[in-house]
Amino acid sequence: MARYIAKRILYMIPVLLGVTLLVFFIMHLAPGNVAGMILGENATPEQIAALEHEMGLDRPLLVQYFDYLVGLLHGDLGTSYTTGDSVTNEIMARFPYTVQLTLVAAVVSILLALPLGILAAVKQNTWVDNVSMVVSLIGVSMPIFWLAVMLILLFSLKLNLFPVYGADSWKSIVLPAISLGFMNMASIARTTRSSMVETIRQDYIRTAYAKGLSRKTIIMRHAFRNGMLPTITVIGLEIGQMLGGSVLTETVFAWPGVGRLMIQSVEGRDTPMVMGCIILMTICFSFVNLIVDLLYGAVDPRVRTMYR
Amino acid sequence: MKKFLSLKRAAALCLAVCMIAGLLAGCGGGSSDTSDGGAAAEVDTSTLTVALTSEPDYLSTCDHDSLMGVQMNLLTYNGLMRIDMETLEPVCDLAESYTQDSDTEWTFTLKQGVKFHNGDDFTADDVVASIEYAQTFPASTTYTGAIASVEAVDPYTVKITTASPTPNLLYDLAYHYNFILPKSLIESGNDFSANPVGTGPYKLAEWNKGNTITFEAFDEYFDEARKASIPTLEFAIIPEGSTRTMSLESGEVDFVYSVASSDIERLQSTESISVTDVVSVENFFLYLNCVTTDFADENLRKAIAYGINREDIVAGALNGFGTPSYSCVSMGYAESTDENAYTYDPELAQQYLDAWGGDPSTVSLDIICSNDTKTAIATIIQAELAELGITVNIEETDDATYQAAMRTTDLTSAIVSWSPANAMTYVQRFHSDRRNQTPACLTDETMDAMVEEMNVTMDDAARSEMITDIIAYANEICPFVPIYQVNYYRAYNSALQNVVCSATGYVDFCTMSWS
Repeated sequence: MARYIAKRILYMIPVLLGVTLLVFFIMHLAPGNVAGMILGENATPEQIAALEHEMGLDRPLLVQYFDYLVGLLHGDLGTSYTTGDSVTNEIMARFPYTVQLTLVAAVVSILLALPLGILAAVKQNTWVDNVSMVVSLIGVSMPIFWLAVMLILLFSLKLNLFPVYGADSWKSIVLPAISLGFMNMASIARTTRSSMVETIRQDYIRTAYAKGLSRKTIIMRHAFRNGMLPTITVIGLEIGQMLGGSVLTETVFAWPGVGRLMIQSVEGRDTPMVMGCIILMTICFSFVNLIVDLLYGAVDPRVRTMYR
Repeated sequence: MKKFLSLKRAAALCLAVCMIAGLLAGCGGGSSDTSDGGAAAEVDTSTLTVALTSEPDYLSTCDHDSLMGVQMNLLTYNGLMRIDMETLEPVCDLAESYTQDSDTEWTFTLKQGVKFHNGDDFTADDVVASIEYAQTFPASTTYTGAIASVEAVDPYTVKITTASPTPNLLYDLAYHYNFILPKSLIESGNDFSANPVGTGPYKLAEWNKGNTITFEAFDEYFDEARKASIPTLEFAIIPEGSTRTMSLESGEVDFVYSVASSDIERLQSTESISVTDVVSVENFFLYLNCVTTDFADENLRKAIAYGINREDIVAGALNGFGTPSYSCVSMGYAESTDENAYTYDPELAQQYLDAWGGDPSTVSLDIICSNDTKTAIATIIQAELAELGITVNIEETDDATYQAAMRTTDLTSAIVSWSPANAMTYVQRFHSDRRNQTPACLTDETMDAMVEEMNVTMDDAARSEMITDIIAYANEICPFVPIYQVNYYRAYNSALQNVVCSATGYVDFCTMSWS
């Protein structure tokens, strides 16, 4: 198992290299001039050239990329073009907020989605199934922006229960987590349902019924466990995505996460900051995928044997 | 089967009712509930919470040239001069008085007993160190380049010598690049963004990146008349317009720096909320390539200028929240004039088109737009110029691409805005030396001569007259097509007093107080 984990972590190195290479060159291919952006409209070409020289932007691209990689190996993500601050500091100031939001939203979505999906599968083709699937369809189709505004209107302005914006107390996270979690709930519930429907049609489930096991035991111990694999995959993907920042939710609730930072950095052509955010996203995604793979093993003994 | 279908119908009906009820509660409840005023319900008078659209990149003076950055600088720093937010004229700040000894020599007597936030005394040495420090930043050249030397005559007297007569010097000294920092911290390499130590009415308490910036009143502030009366000032970064509005309605914030146009009417009708409407000097105009395109011809430019109905643009693209602009320099400065300005006149536009003599169908006006509002404006221009037979193409880009294009002659046109603090800086833009920054702008020898003469005229009255003449002449030669002046809408809790919002976009938070 340890060997498997080590191997998977080593696989991340070429992935990270590929990602940095792609992002670095795409950022430099995009039109626009970083020094010009920093100095503003009144800057003269001489001032722009001087700043480009100072920032090392007049060197060949490959040299700049190589320098970036050397810095990266030393744990230095560079300095932001727009704020002059260390990229690591800027990202680390926001990443805890993103993690908080991701975890709470994930809990919300899982708590809602699993019962909904299981219930829909068990009561397949009944009104319970229909209502569950309509609810999850609404979750998939509803613009998160609209849902967020509706939540604020109801819970902040009308009922005065939660704050409209910010990240100052536990109350602040409730509405962003609900709006983000509700959207993710939909896809998890639908996957759980279809996976469970397939599982409860299997022969071994019929055998379990024939053996006289209770319905609850069959569903929770046999069907649910075996039907979990696709659900774990979807949950992993959703968490990975949320760790990269949820721009719309962060924007509406003024949540100071990484998503907003990355969008601002792309707009400002802040290459080191964009690179830093993308590297963080890549690492998060890779780790979540690794955890998902390990969970497969925990759930399914057949997968466990492959790790050996 | 029948039972199943009826259950299904019942479930669908229940769901539909729930959804409609939810919608009505959400949509209807918000506005009706707020009209009786969440904002004024309970006010914490020790704090003023302000909703900002974006976070300043720096709190230092020399690393930026952004509106938000300058707004923060005005809290923590002072210059020798400051711009009065109501008159837009320079007045003494850290300077007690000044004398002009010759066309190039100025002597400033400094206020005594002024303290920096770190406890240092303010003296002439700090002024010398600050201006010399600012001169090391390439971006500050426009505001520090005229200063040839700064000398501390005694601890409270400074002599500034300019390279040539510089009537703009007082304005330059009020600009944030020339704000005064403690010499000791400049020498020790202090990071003035993380630790913005100045003499200002507020000092930084906490900067929670991406979230809030908090300032506390500086008890030893030197100017009793402008001493902060609200102990804590907190800026919350709320990028989304509707969230800013709802925060104000719920009473979580007290002041919204920029109100989304879709919310203005609602807030105006809310009793506990006041909305100020300031016609700014920020001018949006259609920049034309006068060097490598057909727009080098004055008649064609004028045909465009007379062919665009600004009122349609304000109504259609800005929901009515803007002011049509017809003169090349915004109205609102003492020197502003609408002499020779371009009102909407399709017949006159056709006459200028005929005078140009070309085939309008061969004219291709490609307008670069770097945001949605500009695109909406360009769409209306497209429809209106189609009546003259001119084809308009809209090119949507991001800000970086737009700025890069403006530094070349490889563009046809763009929607551009500019908001200088004074009319003199504005008309200096008409001089051909600005082709260094915007190579496609118009070159006109008469204009160059007029601007050069103004630049060395030290007599205030004579210079003002010259500026007015330059504006009238600019309107005559039409270097670009003015479109509209921005209206700044600031919304705040009605219990706030002494709210002063300048036409240059700044808000005076120091003088605000709770009733």
